[in-house]
Amino acid sequence: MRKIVVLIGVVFWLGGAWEGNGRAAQITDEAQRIYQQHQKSVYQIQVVDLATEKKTAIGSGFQFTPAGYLATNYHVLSQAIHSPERFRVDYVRYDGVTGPLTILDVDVVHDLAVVQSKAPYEAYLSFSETELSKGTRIFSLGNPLDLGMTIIEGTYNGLMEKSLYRKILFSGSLNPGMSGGPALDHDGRVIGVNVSTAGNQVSFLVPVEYLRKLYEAVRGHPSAPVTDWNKHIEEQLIENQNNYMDILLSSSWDVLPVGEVRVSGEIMNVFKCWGSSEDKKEELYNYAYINCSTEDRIFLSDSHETGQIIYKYNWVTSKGLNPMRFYNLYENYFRYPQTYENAEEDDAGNFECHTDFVTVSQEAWKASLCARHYKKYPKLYDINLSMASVNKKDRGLLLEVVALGISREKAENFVKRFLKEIQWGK
Amino acid sequence: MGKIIIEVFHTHRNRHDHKVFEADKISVGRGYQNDLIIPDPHVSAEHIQIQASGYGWVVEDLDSENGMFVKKYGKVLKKAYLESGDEVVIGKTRLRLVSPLHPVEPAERLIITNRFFKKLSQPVYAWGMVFMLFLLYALDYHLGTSENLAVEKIAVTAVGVVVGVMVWAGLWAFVGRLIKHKAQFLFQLAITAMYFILLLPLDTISNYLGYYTSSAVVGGICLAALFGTLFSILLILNLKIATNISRRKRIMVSNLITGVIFAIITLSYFANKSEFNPNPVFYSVLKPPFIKISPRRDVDQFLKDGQKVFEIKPAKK
Repeated sequence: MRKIVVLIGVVFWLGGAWEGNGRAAQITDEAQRIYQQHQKSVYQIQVVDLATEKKTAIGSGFQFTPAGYLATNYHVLSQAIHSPERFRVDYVRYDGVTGPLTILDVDVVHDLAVVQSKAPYEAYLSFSETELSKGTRIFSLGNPLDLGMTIIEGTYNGLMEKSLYRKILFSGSLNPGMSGGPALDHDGRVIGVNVSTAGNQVSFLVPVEYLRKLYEAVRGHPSAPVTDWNKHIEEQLIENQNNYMDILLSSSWDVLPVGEVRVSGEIMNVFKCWGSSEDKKEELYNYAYINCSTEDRIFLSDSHETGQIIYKYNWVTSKGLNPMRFYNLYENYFRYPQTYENAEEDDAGNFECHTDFVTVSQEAWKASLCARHYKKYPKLYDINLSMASVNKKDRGLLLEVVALGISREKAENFVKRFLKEIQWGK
Repeated sequence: MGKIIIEVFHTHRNRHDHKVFEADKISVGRGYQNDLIIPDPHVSAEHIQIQASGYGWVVEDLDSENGMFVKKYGKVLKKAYLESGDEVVIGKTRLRLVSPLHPVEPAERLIITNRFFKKLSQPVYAWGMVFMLFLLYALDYHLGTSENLAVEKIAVTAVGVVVGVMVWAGLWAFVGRLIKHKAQFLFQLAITAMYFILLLPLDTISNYLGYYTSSAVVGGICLAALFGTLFSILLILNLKIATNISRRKRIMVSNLITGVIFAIITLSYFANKSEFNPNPVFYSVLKPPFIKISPRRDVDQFLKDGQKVFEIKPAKK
């Protein structure tokens, strides 16, 4: 069991650490030229606590129209969005001039935000229209760790294929504070927005097409700014979920044998499965587990992340344990479901569970379906389905489905489909 | 000349005396000239006079300061006719008048008469019980692990239970030694061991019940009820062997102690329970399929029943 935990840890860590330590990339003359030409369009974005008048979060941003529209990351501004009465958003220009910003709209799924300055400056960046090829040099600007504006040179490594939310893989070192800064091609056009890093030169950018879409949405409702952010964010999450769930539910699923059971494997290419097994001489049982999950998580606030789907299988067989001893062991595996660290008390309620026997593929299972609702987004739930087959004296399959931030209808459809795929017998 | 016994209850001193008189007329008061002297400051020097009459006595108040309260009439009277067993209260002292032929309760037995318990307190059976306890707990520990542990390791755990049982029995034997001047250690040991032996099957029964009904409530209530009843019975027996208190009191005290223990456990559970638990908690007991299970529910019905987990409960203020 300990190994599973370690592996999950690795997956989580790869999936979305917002900070990392990397080596400073080499600076060429080209970087120097781009920095000099475009640093005036790049800003530091500060979230200022109104009670102390001190900044509590920093990020970067850039102006992309003459009218003073700036782009940054949603996660940079999340505090100001959830508690506008406690925080204000300010910009700091290259020459030290500061001013207030108004949040116009966000794209929570792709972690983007468009803000506006009342006193626009003349310098701005324009969007790239061309597609880059893998290996192209690109440049990322931002203000890491509040140390001052910097430029980082790295390589464009294409769009991540195995991702629910498409991101550009950038081989360069983004650091905290650079979030929201622009990534530019050698003509100085924006190809993406800095968003996150997994450390050691593995960083991610949001493709500029999503910023273009968000900007179009902003221009579509200039006179009616968003007032109910929670509802707005909820709508975005549900729309996004409906899109990928429709694809997920209509596709044919990969079949994976686990012990004597055939179950769903990598449902779509966005799921990655890890597996391991143990057959120790001194132990009286064997187990083999497979753990599949999406690697994308959507940032909602400092304490709340969502969007991930995980499912796990654990095939346990006895090597000479009598049924009573085997079921004691089996029960211990069943007792501890996934630990949920994606939300805190302000974000979600307690889990409610329903436990019963159920027939799946002519086999008897003990099943427990649990759900908790999100307090700010009441149409969304975290769910857990834990099941154990219970009619074999010396072997059994444990399975678990975890879906974060899913609507009731989609949760039921997904679980139904998932259980339909289970076939007992080789 | 008739014989009269007067039982004097000194309420404030929590003791009582018996005075036997061979006279037809007895004077009662605080003064030293009386036949029965009552050192109660609320009693007058010459308080009442008792005069034999027929099968009983006529009791008369001698113009005392505080009067005479007759228990069977429930009021203060100047003069009353009392029979054997009747009581009067003067000042703060209660007097019970009894004739020599007044019947008494049969004696309580000092020795156990119940054949089963008698056998149990013989050394062979008592120690046999303890040995059985040891074996059962060792087996239970063995069944609970998936490793093949060394015999010593299993034995150590079971020995722990045995020592606990012996300490409990020892404490009650000590109480018995103090109160009844009779320890009866083996008897205490035998019933305590029996209690712990019975716990194991009861625990299993409640787990199975909870498992088959898929309900933590059923499993939990069953466990609490069985454990509680059994613990009460253990205490009643412990008290019976070690003390002289009446059957009614024994049952009351035992139930009270059990109730208090349950209250403490329940309270501490709710006191320590945090309002927010980030992880799901469900009744996770699994039992080997000695009886094949064929659930009546398929996935659709299961999900239909499970819809309640999506209902949002109003937040508690």
